[in-house]
Amino acid sequence: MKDNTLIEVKGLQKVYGGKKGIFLPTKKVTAVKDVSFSIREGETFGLIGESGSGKTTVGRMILRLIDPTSGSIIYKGQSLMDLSKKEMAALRKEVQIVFQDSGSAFNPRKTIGSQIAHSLLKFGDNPDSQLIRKETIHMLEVVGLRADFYDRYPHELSGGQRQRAGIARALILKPKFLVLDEPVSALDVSVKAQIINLLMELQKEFNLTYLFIAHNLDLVAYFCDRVAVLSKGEVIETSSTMELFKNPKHEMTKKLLSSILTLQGDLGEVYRNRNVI
Amino acid sequence: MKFAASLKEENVLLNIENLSTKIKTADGTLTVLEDVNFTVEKGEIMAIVGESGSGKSMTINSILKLLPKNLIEEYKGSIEVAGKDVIALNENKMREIRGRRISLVAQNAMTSLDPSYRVGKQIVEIIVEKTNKTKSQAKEKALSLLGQMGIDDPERIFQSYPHQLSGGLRQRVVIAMSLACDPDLIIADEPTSALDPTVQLQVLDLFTKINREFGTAILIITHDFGVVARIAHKVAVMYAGQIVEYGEVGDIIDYPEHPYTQSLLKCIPDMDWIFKEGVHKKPLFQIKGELPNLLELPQGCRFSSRCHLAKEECHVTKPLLLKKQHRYKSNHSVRCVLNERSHER
Repeated sequence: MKDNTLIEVKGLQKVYGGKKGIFLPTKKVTAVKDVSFSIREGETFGLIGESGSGKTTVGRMILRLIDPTSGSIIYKGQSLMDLSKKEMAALRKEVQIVFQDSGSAFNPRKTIGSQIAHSLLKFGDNPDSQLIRKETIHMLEVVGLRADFYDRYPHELSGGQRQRAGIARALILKPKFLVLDEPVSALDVSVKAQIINLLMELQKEFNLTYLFIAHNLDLVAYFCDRVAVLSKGEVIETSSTMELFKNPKHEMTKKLLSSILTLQGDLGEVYRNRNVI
Repeated sequence: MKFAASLKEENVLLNIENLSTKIKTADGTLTVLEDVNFTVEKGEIMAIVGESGSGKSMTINSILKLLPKNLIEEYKGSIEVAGKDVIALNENKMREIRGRRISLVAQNAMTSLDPSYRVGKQIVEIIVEKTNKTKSQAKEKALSLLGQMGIDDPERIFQSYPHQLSGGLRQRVVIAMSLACDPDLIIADEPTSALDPTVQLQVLDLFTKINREFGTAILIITHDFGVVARIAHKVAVMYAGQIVEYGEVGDIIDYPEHPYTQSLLKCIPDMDWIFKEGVHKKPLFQIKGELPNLLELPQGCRFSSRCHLAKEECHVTKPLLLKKQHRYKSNHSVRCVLNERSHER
């Protein structure tokens, strides 16, 4: 293993069903067949694919929010599969997730601030409530929200603001690794750019490593260092972003890239004009 | 200002003038639409582009009279569909327009289909209800429509329940349904936003095909300028309930005049960068701030607080949607104080 590898995923597989139901065994569905990749420290690794290709399942398995059927996940040389629930909980400080739908990722009945502070209360070293409040407000400011957002409820925020709060919640424990599960898919065009820029700034500031799950490939091009393309639960191509866009090899990758709509026509046309495909 | 003035009357399908809609809420009155003017002609694809809260969907709801009746504070102006003013029509007359003259393709195909009936039955139901065809004639028509939507085995799809179909297939079924009574105009509200990029492209091309083969006019609502560039002839850019720029797609993409349109276009990653070096990981262009609160709109231009060109007068003077003078025979209009000034000179 190379020195700067932060996370390595080997032969990850997830099969749903197949267990005996009340009458008949349920149908087996293989959501993830065989996924392997490694993410280096400080990079943004993109995971792209159509819906149903298994990208979200992979993201959640890395955090062990879903338990893999087989395969291994190695974080800083340590296998996550061998950890007990308690040990895994402790590790969650270092690995966090930002969800796609910030509307349902927050409890509607609690204030934004209390939900961000909750992790500090649970995992932080200092239980002093004044200090926790101060730290939470500082984090709100880091992601571009005002201090008075602490006492607001999720529905009082716009989609972009809620996603900023989601990022604040993920960052409050000073993690090293963030899974970004389609963090901007539900946002407006102008807000999308704001959030991506924020994520890029935060990455520099806190030396974060990202796994960016997306189906809008145009942003992947700007944001990711390397990309893995998933299709039907398998990685079909992994390469640097530049290489992937300039020289796509797999048919599915070409299809995905061609479907990007640009002002000059779809990217397929742009490619054809330049004889790339 | 009448956009239709320069057009032949008989070619105008939908003409909206000075449309203004206000909705009562618990917090106060929302100005959801103000001074909306546009025209859709026969056989044309027009797009309304804007972010959430810009009034795109409210425009549709106003056209089809789907506004929540007890909450309407103001609903005035004129909406002419084939010469009839929709605002004055009663619910019975409105039912003749909906589905027959204008049909709607909603964003989420799952919600426009009833999960407990086979999709074929649902298409047949509409045809029988809206035309005087018999059930077997209606079935024939439904199957042929499904075939025209690029569905390989219409018979199997006809017998399927909505949940058995993929998102793309469901959207095709809904589009087939919208064509059931040969409408003059299809209104499509974000028809591809929920779809995968590869499927989105297929569905957009299907709309283009429908437009070419049946001559059906299409009013497509979207937040994505990429979609506009792909299929539309004409576009209205909406911001906070107003049209801020209006014209031919080519004109607007090549010569955007309103600072908001310019910014929105810049937000779309330019894919040509791939072939240049050193663009990767540079910050994306972003529009600072957020949409103004529709409860307390600014006195002057609604974009002024986010505009990088805003001058003092922008915050106090309400700009009007005015035609650009300089370009030959174009129908390009802009709502910007800075543009008005360049007129006077």
